[in-house]
Amino acid sequence: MVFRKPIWRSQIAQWAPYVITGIALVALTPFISDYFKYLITKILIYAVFAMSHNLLYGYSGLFTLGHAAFFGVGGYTAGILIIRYDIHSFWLVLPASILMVLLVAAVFGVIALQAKGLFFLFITLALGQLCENVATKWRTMTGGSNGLVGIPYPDLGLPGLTMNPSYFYILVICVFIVSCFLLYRLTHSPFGEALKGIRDDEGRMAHLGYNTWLHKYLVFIIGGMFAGMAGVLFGHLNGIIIPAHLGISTSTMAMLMVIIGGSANVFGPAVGAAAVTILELVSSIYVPERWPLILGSAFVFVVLLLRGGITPHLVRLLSRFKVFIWKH
Amino acid sequence: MEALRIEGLSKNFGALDVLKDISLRVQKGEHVAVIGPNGAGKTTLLNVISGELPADAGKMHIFGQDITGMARYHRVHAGLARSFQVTRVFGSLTLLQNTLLAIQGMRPSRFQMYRSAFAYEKIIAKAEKLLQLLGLWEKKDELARTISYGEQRKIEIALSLSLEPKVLLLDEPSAGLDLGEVLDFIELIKDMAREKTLIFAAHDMDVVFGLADRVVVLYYGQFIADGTPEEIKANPKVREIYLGVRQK
Amino acid sequence: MKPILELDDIHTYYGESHVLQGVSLKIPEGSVVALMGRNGMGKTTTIHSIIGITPPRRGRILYRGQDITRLQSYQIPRVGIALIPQGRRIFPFLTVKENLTVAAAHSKKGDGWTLEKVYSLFPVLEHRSNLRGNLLSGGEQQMLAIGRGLMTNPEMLLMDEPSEGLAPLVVSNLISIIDQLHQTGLSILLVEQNLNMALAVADYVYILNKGRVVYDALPSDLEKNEEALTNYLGVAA
Repeated sequence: MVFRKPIWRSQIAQWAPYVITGIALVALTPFISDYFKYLITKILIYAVFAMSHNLLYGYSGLFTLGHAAFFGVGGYTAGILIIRYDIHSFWLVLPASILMVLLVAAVFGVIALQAKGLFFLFITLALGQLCENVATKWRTMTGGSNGLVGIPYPDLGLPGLTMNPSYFYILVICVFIVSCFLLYRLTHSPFGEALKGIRDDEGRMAHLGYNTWLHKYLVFIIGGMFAGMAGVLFGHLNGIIIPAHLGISTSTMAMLMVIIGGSANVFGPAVGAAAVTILELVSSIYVPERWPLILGSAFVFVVLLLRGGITPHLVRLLSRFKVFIWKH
Repeated sequence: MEALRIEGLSKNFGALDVLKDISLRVQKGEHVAVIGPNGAGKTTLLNVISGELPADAGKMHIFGQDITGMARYHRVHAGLARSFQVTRVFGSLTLLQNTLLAIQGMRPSRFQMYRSAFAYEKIIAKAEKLLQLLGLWEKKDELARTISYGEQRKIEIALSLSLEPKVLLLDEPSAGLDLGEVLDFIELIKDMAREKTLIFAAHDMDVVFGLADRVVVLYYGQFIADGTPEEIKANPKVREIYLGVRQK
Repeated sequence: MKPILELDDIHTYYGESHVLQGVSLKIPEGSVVALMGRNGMGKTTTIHSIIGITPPRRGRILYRGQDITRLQSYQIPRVGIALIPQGRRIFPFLTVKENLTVAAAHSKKGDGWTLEKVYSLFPVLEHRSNLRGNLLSGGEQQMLAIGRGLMTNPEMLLMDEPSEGLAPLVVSNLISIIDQLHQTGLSILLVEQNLNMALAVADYVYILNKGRVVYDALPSDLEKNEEALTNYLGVAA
C-alpha cells in the first residue's frame, strides 16, 4: 500500500519542525536584547493573526475586511477583565476572551454569510467598523478613543515566576507553535480539504453533499478565535488596546501580510508578518511619516513582481541554495 | 417504488415557460435519455431535479422521499447525484484530493478537523480503485486544471459516481470529448452505472443509443414522446423536430 | 490559385509546452478547409495562433502573402479574418440586434453584409432580435455568432467547433448555412469533431495529431481511409 510508513518515522516527521523551531527561538532568549524579544514577540502575534485571516481568505475563499474585529474583541475583553474586573489569571482571561470572540463571531457569521463575494466583503467591513465605533463611544467600559491603557503582562499564577519580557517571549513562542500546529492539522484535515473545495467551486461542493454554509460558518468562527487569541497577547505586549485595533486599518494590515507573505500555504502569512513588521521598523527609523507609502509600495511590488507572495520565491531560492551547497 | 417521480413540474423564467407541467416516472435501474432541441428545457429539467433551480410548481420524489424544496446538498444525501455539461472540477486540487472530497461528501468524517485527510485508509482505497478504473491513478498528484479536457471529464463523472448515488443525473456527459473518447466514455459509464438509475441529457446519438434503454423527448417544455431508442428513432414527429431526415 | 491563408511551419508553445510542432497548411481562396483531430492535438491552438492569442514562436502565417504572424488580435479582423469561437461566446446581456450591430462598427464599406442580409440568412434571428443573448437556445446562439462574424465583412471565417452541443437537426441546418456561405465566395477554415459535417462541407481536410499535420486529403479519400479514421480520429470501423 502506498500510504503506509513506519509509524515512529511519520510521527517524528510531523512533530519535529515545530519542536525544532520552538527550541531554536527559545534558545535565543539569553542572547538577544529585550527590544529584539519585543520585536519577535510582535511578529509572532501578528503571524497568528495573519494565519487566521488566511484560513478564511486563502483556504476558504472568504475575502473579509472585518477580521480585526475578532482581534480587537479578544484584546479588549482581556483588557476589560483585567483592568475593570480585576481578574488577573491568564487561565481565566484567555479562555473568557476567546469565548467572547466565539460569541461575536457566531453572530457576525450569521449576518455576513447571508452574502457572497463583494457583498460579504462589505458586510464584514461594516461589522468591523461597527465594533470600532462601539469601542470609541463606550467610554466607561473601553476607555473611549484613548483605549484601554495599562494592561499588564499575563499572570500565569506560577509561584516564583514574575512575567517579564523574556518569559512573555517564551509564552508567545509556545502559543505560536501550537497555533501553527493546529492550523496545519486543520488545513490538511477533511474539513480543511472541504474548505479548499468550497473556495474553488462552492456549487459543486453542494452537489457533493456538503452543507457549504455550515463549513463557512465554522471556519469563520474558528478563524475568529485564533485572531482573538492573538489580540489578547497583543494587548499584553503593548499594554494598550485602542479602537483602531478593531477596524479596517488593522484588518487591512492582516490582508497585506497574507498577500505579501503568500496565501498558498499555512505559514506564508507568518513570513508576511515578519516582512511587514521589519519593514515598519526600518521605516520608523528613517522615514516614519512615510510608512503608509512604504507599505503600499511593498504591496504593489509583491503583487507585480513576486506572484504568490514572498514565500514561494523564498522556498525556490532556498532550494537552489541547497543545490549550490550540495554541489560545492 | 419508483426511483424518480416527477409530477406537474413547471418552471418559468419571467414570461418564458421553460417546463410546462411535466410528469415522469423512472423505475429503479432504468437508463433514460432525455433528448430534444436546444432550448427545449433539458438542462433546466436537470437543474430543477438537482436543486440548482427551484421549481415553480409540482413535486419530485426519490424512492418515495419528497425532495421538492430540499437544499442541493440534502438531495445528495437523499441519493441523487449529478454531473455538469461544462466540466466543474476543483482545479487547484490534485486528482486524488478531488476524488477524496467526493467520497467524503456523504461521511461524517468530513467535519473532522484534526486527523489528516490522507489518514483514512478505507477512503483512500476507494479513491485508488476509482482512479485505477479511470486509468488516472498515475496522475493522482497532478492538479486537476493541468490534465486534458477528456481526463477532466472523467473526473467530473467520477465525482458524482463517488457519492454512490441511487439516481445519477448526467448533463451531456460526452460534451467536449472527441470521437474516440466518446466511445471509451460510453463503455465506462455502462460499466459504472450498471445497477444504478441513470437519467442523462444528450445530443450525441451514439451516447443515447449506447446507454439508454428508454428515451424521452422534451420539446418546448413538454414530453412529446417516450419509448425505446428504436421507437423514438422511427418516430416521425421526433425526426421532424430533432433528428432531421438524414440518419446514420 | 494563391492561398488566402497559409501557415508555414509554425511552432506554438503554452509556457514550455510545445503544442504545435511545425504545422503547415494552405487554404485556397474561396474554399472550405476542415481541420480535424482528437482533443488536445492542437486544433484550437492553431486557431489561436492565427488570431494572435497565442502567437507562434517560430514559423510564419501569411494572409494573401502578407505576414500577419505578429499582429495583435484586434488587428486580425481588420485584415479580413473573422472568428466564430468555440462555445459561441455571444454577448449574453446584449440583445440579438445589439450583438450584431456592435460588431459592425469595424466593417468595410461597400456591397457587404448588413443587418438585413444577416436576417435573411437567419430568419430566426430577426424573430428574436430584441431577446437577450443568454436567453437564446444553443443553435440560435450559433447563428448569432456566425452573423456577428459576418457583420465585420470578412473575406475569411475561422469556425471553431460550430456543431458542438447542437441537436442533429440544427447541425443539418448548419451544414446548409456553411454551404451557402461557401457560395458567396467566403474562405472558411473549419475546426470540427463532427466527421459527417466535415465530410459534407469541406473541399479539403487536414488532420492534426500531437501538434503536427499527419494527414491531408480530399474528404472522399478520408472517408475511405479506415486507418486514418481509426488512428487519427478514434472512430471505430
